[in-house]
Amino acid sequence: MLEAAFIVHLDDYHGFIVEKKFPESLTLTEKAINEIYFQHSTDSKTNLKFSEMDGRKVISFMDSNHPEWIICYIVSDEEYARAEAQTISGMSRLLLELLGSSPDTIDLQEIIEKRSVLPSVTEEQLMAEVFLTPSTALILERMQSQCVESAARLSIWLKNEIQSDTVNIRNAIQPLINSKIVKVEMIGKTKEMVFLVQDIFCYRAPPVDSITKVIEENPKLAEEYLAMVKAFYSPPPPDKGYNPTIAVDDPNSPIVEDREKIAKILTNRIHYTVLSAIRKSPLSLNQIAQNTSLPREVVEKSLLVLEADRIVSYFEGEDLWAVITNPLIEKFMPEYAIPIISHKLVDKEINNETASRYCQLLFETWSE
Amino acid sequence: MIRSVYILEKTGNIVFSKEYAESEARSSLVEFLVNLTNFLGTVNLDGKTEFMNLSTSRFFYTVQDDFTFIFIADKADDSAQIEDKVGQLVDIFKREYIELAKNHQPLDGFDEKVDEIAVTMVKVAILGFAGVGKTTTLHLLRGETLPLVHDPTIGVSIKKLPEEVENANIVLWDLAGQSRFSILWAKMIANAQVVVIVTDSTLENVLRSKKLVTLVKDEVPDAKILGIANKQDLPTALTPERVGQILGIPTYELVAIDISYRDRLIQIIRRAILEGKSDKKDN
Repeated sequence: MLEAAFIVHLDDYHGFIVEKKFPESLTLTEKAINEIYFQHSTDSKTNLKFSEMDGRKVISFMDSNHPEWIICYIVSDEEYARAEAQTISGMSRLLLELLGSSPDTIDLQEIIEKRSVLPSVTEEQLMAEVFLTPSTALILERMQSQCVESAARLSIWLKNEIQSDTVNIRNAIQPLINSKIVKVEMIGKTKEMVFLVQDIFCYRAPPVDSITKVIEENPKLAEEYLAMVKAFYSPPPPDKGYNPTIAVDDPNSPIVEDREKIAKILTNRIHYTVLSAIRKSPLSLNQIAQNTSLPREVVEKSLLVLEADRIVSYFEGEDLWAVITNPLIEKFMPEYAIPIISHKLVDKEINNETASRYCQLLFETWSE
Repeated sequence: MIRSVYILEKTGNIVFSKEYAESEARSSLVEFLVNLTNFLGTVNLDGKTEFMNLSTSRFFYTVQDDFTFIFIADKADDSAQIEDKVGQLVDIFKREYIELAKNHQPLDGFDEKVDEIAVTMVKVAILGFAGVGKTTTLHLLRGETLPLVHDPTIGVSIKKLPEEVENANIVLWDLAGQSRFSILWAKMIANAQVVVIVTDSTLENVLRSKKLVTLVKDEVPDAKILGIANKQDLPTALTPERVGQILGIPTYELVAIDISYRDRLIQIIRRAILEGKSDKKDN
């Protein structure tokens, strides 16, 4: 079982600072913390590490996105820790998010007792990350028109596009690889090719599931709820409302400007957890806090952010929070790639091997 | 360094004052500050912080809500940084103490808050290969009893210098010298203002330590680098001049087990901090 926990912050000036610990009587030495930190520094492949500290078994968590924090737990035995590795990782992710957003709300004892966790990153969140880096979003646009291109050519195009020689194509393309939107492979001995195997569409969908549930279970709320959703998607003229089907190059398209906002919400783990909790049906603040195991203040803060972005709304009479626009990232097969491959093959822009490998990759990605 | 902080009412009455170091003669300084306050009452600074130079000092001032805030610092200090500190002080004062000051009540707890703003932190990293005397140098700087048995440092050992130097809290980072810890060196010297490279003054160790100079120059190009030719009491020791020539950095002699070297070493670090400040300003 988990016997104790502590959070260490590595400050550039003050060194290791134990920011939180449970129980308060827990004593730690600089040497022990150094050993834990050193273990993570030597191998960053895994987030969780096991070690011994003054005869006690310790499992510690570090994440490359938060290199200044170490979350440590003292456990009764290593076997237990290995069996509970997923829960421990989830708790650590939650703590890291809370340390970044509302450190004062952290109650280490409560998190341990309730075993509150933050789920690992979903496919949707990985896809959302594409829109957070402008050069990555640019590469996606390029791939949507080219479908297959050599990495070298793509790099030259990107440097030219953003007028900078210092841009690193590998960093820029990484979110596309992580989200499995593109695949990068060597064709032959020298040519590194980038293939678009999935395309994505980022928009706000009407909250159909939630509305259906409300109509079935809470007719009193349904009318007000429907009116609010309608006001966003099809307000009375002359207002135009939100229409994601307008082409992205149309100045009236809501997509480009809005997708960065949506991506920021989806990639924020706290907002995403809160949003996921109410996607299917409206819930009260307390219910969301209970279902997500997040502190009430954190949920409240997140709901206010989501409300400001017109994603959720509060229904005072019912004391419920409901989704009014459901931010989504949907993936689909880039069927438009087929004629492009054939044109490129005819024009000798790609060889047979590249074309056949591309078709194979599309088949592998989209067949059951 | 910030030498003193003053807050005056419109009438010239001093509401708060704190001196961190010697500055101009106190009576003439107060007279000057009162006159400055009166003058500032006739102009509109529009909430901005301005400064004027006087001898080697620089006076930063701003007027907000009928109070004049004055920081006396060195000309060598980064003005943007001091202006930022003035801003922080004004914010805290307006948020928590302005009503007390207007009613001439004691400003409980304000003194500590001013310290937090005015006293800066300086990170001094002590780097060198295993067994050259880094931890002994740390103990010497802290005026502690020197350990008789060699106990290798694990990772990093962080300690404060007991006294402030140039109105700054000196935080000493003693980095483990064993090669297995070399992976930590680059991370641990981040943001150091001064890096002290300790050698045991043997030719072999000094030649190896040249790598450390390169590492420091790459990782913290703005840091002042000092060489220490330790163990000068041993017959095999190269002279500090020779060590300095090989390392290509200013190098000073040391016998870390001899307490009489303490003040000299603190003076060397003090000078490095001041030189670091002027270099930054020149750039």
